[in-house]
Formats: sequence, C-alpha cells, structure tokens
Amino acid sequence: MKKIFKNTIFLSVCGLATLIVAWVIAYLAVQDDYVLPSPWATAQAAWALLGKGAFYLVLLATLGRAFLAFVIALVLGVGLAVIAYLYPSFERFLRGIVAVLRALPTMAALLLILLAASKWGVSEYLPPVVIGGLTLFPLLYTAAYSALSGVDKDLLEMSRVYRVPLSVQIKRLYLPSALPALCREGVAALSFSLKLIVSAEVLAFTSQSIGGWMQTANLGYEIAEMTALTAIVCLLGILIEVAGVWLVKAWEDRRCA
Amino acid sequence: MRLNNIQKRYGEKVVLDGVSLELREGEITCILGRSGAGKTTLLNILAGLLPYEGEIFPMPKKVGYVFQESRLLPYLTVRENLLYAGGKPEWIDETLQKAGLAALADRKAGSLSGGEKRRVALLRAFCVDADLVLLDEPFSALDTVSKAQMLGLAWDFIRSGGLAAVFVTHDLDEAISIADTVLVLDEGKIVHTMRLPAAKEPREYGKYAKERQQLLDVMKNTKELGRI
Repeated sequence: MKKIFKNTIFLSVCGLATLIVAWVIAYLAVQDDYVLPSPWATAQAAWALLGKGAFYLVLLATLGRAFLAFVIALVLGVGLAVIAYLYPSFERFLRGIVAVLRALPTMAALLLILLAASKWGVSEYLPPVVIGGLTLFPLLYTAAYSALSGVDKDLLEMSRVYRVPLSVQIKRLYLPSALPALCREGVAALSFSLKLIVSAEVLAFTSQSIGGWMQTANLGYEIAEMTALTAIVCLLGILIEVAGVWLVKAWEDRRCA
Repeated sequence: MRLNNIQKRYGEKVVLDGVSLELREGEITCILGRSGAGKTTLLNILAGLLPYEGEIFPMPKKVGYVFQESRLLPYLTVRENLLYAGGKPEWIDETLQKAGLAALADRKAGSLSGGEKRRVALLRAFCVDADLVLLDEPFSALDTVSKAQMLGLAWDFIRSGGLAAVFVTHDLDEAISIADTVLVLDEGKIVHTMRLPAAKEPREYGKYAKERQQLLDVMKNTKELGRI
C-alpha cells in the first residue's frame, strides 16, 4: 500500500483524475454549456476534431510556429549567453534588456506588434512567432548563462593548468556540463512556447492556426469545441515536456553509465 | 629551474615575500608550512595560474599538477581523462600498467572509489610530457597504507622520468619520506632549508629522527596565518 503512494505515475494520474472530478462538479454547479461544457461534450468535440484532416494541418502550422519561435530564442539566447560568459561587461549590458523582456506584458506587446505588422503589411503569421521569441529569449538566455557559469571551476582550473585546447574544453567539459541543464530548461521552454503561440494566435486571430480556430469557436458559441482545442493543446504541451525530460534523463544515464 | 625573488600580494597582504629557490631534474623539493604560509600560492604561480613579481627561469613548458581534490571529469573514462589532460596515448597504457591500474582504463571516473580517483589524478601528472610536477597535499585524505603506496608511485615516476617536482605538505613524515630538499615557508618567506641524504627508495621515517626533530622545531616557531 505504501509503495502505491510513492509511485509517481499513480499519484500524477490521481491528480489529473481529481481535476476531471472538479470539472464535473463545476459543470453540475454551473449548469450552462455556454460557460462551462461538460467533460463528455468536450470529449465528443475533441473526437470530432481528430476526425478532420484540416485539424492536423492547422495543428502542424501552430506547432511549426511554436518550434520556430523556440529555435530563434534558443539560438539568440545561447549565442548571447556565450558572449556574456566571455565578456562580463556585455553580460552587465544585457542585464537591463533581459529584465525588461522578462517583465514585458506579453499580450500588450503582441498588440503593439500586430499594429506595426498591419501598418507595414507584414505576414499575419509573424507576430505570434515574434512574441514567442521575445518571451522565450530571456528564459533561454538565463538558462544558458547559468549553465555556462555552473561549469565546475576546479575542472576549468585543471584544464588551464594542463593547457587543454579550447576546442577540447568545449567538447569535453563545457558541453557535457552545460547541456543537461540547458536541455531541461529547453524542454520546459518548448512546451511553454506552444502555449504562448496559441495565446498569441487567439489574440491575433491568425488564420490556419489552433488559436484562430479557438477564436472562431468562441465567436460561434461552440464552447465545447473551444474547450476541446484547449484540452488538446494542454495534452500536447504535457507530452512534449514528459518526452523531453525522459530523453534528457536517458541521455544523462547513458553518459554516466 | 630557478625562482628569483618571487613576490605575491593581495592588496596590502603579502603572501610571498622574496622567495628564491632552485628546482633540479629528478629531484623532489618539499615545501612545508602552516596554513596560509603561501605554499599553494607558490604552486599556483608555478602552474601559471597567478600573476607574480620576480623571475622564473626557464618557465616550464608543461606542468603536471596533482591537486588536493582529484578533479577528474566523471563522465569520461580513466583513459579519456588522461587524454583530455594531454597525455600521450603511448604513455597512458604503459603508465596505467606500471601503476597496476590497467583494469580501470575503460571505467568512468565517476564510478571509481576515492582512492582510485587519487591514483588516477596522480598518474595524470605523469602521463603528460611535463617539465615540472606539482603536488599539493595530494595524500592528505588517504589512509596509511594507501599513502605509502602513492608516495612510492610518485617517487618512481619522478625519479625514472627525471622530472623536477615540488611537493607541498604539512606532514613532516611525508616530507622526510620522499624529498631531496625540504623548505619551510613562513609568512611568505623561506625560513629553513634542509638537504636530505640521497636515497634509492622512499625513506623510512624512523631512521631520520634528528632531521625530523629539526624540522619540527622550525615548524613550531612558524606562525599560523588566516587564509586569504
């Protein structure tokens, strides 16, 4: 009996089941499908969505935008983190900028970007990617900088004494030391990117997007469909994070075996 | 190798104050002293880790350093750790064989015991083509038997390789066991120099009671300084 209560998967499933039970209780209390649809109506709507070919195209487009925003933020974040690590003055210069980006109200920034995009005739697909990149950049930059700064100072000193070439230090010391931490943060950021992009797509009413479909369902009072889309995005985010964490752990275990 | 008037300050605090000494190939120079005397600072200067005033001639091209901690990369094998430090592949297997550690070559350093890690860290200093080997209290955490084995190993490698070695310790018996010259450092200055008789193997402590007492008397008069 005690073993069950220590089993992570069992407890997580219990947690999820509790959420669904809370949903059912809330539905029964609210009694209004336009405010809160039932879990079974949502499941039916989800099933209907999964049967549509167009849904998968739209999902791929949203996932693609989420991935693009993540990659842009990752490349910028890691690149600038390396420069900041090598040049402390640059790190101090970036501190203010990163703090502002971290504190930036995402949706307000999106509205400004949308205004600018419409004025300049920029593609409607770009603003969600830009806002995703801007929001993720401080997270990934900080993670990369912390990962680099966290490399064991004693090992770095040993490398200096033995005159280990920088390329060898990067390959054998920096990357193996910094990558696991960066990967873990990266996985969380990728999952977060999906949520960000969908939110931006809702506000921007981006066509051919999950967010756009959510907005359409909302305007058409198809609340069950909107909730189903939300649940699918939620599930995808969890899957990305779980798969990512598992892959990172498997790699770390293999490395140290 | 000659060190002339080596000075090192941290702000107003003088850590090394005009240290001069000579290091010879195939010989072990032991530096004794209390905590904060400047022993590790001197080693770090020789290793090229710290700026200093004074002259070192000639500067060592390559240094092997046995730190107080093992400082091995845990996810690399023993062989990969030795290669990482610049160990010559043809020497690595020979050195591991000589030290009786050939069986550990393909084990991840993180899976080794504390004693095994110390041995590998010691071997690392002798696998690279070093002009100078520095040992900073490398045996302090070991039991008596392991310490004796490691001292013997260090002795063999230094003598057979014709390397100049500087060995820092606060243990008189370790110093007497393997050093050719013992220097006592106090408040950044060399306050005593002792030349020990030549030996073909590590000396037994009991046979050098007079030298030991002499060093003990000098050490008692030295001051313990706070660490920087």
